[in-house]
Amino acid sequence: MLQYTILLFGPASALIGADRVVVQCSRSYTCDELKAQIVKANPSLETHLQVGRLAVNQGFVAGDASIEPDAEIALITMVSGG
Amino acid sequence: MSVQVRLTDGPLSEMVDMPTTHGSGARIVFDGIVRPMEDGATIEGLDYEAYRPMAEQQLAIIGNDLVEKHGLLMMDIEHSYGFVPNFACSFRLVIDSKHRKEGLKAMDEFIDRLKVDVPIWKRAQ
Repeated sequence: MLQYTILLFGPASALIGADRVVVQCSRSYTCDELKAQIVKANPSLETHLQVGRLAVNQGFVAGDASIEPDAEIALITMVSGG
Repeated sequence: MSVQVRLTDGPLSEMVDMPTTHGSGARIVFDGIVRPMEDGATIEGLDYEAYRPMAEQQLAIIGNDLVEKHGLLMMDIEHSYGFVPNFACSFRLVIDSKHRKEGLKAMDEFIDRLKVDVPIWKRAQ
């Protein structure tokens, strides 16, 4: 069984009281597929996933990009720096 | 042409002596200051959380994009993480350019992109 670990920050982390979530999988997912799996496992994060983007190895990726389970993955929700 | 990026724990100190880049006709400095009110409520300050390795990369990407696009001479970018009290500086952008027009344009563009693509979050305290 494979496993994705997704780092959380800001409002998403505060919402579920954790700095990461884990998604089990039997194959590699695309970015959009992984976002759907994250919501399935953590329904309260749905709004954040709708407006947020996934970063893989510290760079934003497109929805159809394939993501390897051992990559560094982060959910980047609406940011508020500056 | 050069771009420097720093993330700093806590409030940014007063701007240090930074010689202008040779050939500069304009230096523009933008300081982002923490306001005492947020969403209508009085606050002590803002706590900034940063996904630091990616934040540094994104700031550099934006900086290099704009230096090239606008033909700037230098851009120095500094952002806080951690707690920054009211009236203190949490973000500073320094741009050297031959003329003011491209510097002002780049300043505005940088801040717009910062608020979309740089993984930093603020929380009122």
